Amino acid sequence: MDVLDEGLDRYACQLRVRRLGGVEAQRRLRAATCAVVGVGATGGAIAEALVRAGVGRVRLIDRDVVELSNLQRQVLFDEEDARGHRAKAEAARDRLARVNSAVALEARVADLDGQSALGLLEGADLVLDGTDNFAARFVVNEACHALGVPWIYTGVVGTTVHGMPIVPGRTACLRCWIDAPPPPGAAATCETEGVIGPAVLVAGGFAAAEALKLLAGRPDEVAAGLFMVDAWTREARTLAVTPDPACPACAGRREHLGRAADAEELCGQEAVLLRGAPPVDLPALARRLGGAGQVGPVSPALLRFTPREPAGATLTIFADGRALVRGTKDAAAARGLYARYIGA
Amino acid sequence: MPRVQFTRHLARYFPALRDGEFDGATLAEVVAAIDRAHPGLGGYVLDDRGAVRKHVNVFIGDDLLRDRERLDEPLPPGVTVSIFQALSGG
Ligand SMILES: [Zn+2]
Repeated sequence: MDVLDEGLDRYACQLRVRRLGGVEAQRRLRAATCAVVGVGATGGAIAEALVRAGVGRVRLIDRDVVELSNLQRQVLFDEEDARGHRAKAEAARDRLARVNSAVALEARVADLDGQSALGLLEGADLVLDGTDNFAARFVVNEACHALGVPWIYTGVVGTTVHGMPIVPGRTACLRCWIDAPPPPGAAATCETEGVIGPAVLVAGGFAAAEALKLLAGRPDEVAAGLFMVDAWTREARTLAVTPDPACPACAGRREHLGRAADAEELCGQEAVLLRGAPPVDLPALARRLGGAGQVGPVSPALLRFTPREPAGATLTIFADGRALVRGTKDAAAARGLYARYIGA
Repeated sequence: MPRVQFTRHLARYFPALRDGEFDGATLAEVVAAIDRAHPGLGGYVLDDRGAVRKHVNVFIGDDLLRDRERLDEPLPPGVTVSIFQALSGG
């Protein structure tokens, strides 16, 4: 369907912004596909902006479920989503479908790692970073090089925002200026330093604006370099980052793609994410677990299980084989619980 | 004297830290001056061998320091040195 068929009234305000490019820009937005990796705080704000702006197809990728503690900053979710432990990708899709029914929304309840990345991002014209860790970003960086697709890095901690549009072959990439992910404990994260919702909105606004330029055919207007702003002190600056001639990612080397991620302690939470198990038949598992504790809710994407033993543990089993074990920070203990109830 | 700007979140570990001027003709000297004023901060920027840590970024003026081991080049007079690390959250 052409954008003109569905009426331009709803986009009247952005059509008046000359720099965006009018009806022709709106047509380009309508024809575009975006993938948003992580639809929690920043990713949720980005996805909402893109859907409202009339991007034709938006893929919502997230591995996590909604928790009450997300609602302070994750604009797509509400208390009902948290009570129901809904998969974020699906809750985001349902919310955004009510915002703009003309946008094709794809929910992918999946963990983007070196093995899944190309499949998850294929077909996207632009990838938006709503992740909360560098492991995923290094994978996205290589995948976007491999696919020849631009992506926009955003990071938020406390009140501070970083952002950088990355166009393979034209700008510096993430690996051009970050040699390695910070070792555990060395990175400032939302879990250790907190985050305020308004900082997330600044990050989402920055990324969405750069996305509109890229998608509407104004790549020359994209803000080059690393954008840093503090939502509290209002200090803002842009540092030029030039491509590193020795950058392995720019040279097409794959250090992160192709490698499946292992168990991972979720930053600052009493939780471990286990990976590598084959897909699970959730209805059959629900029947089997019934006698060992409390099962529910169950959706096509996930099942939540609270075993009688040990107290305080919950397991969220995803249909794709991942398991989120809450109540421990220890990967071995998490694997033990998984083996005990789900199988080795 | 070079002016040094720090990443915001360092204030958590060094509450008295402010952007400001630190004496030194080279980056190595400036980092030493920073560490004298805020003991321990030097170890955040440099590893045991005296190289800039891989997850820390230093800009000299508008230029990203690429060679993490070359800290002995003379700094341009009055230059702004920015020390930060990429933000992970989102
Ligand atoms: Zn690069």
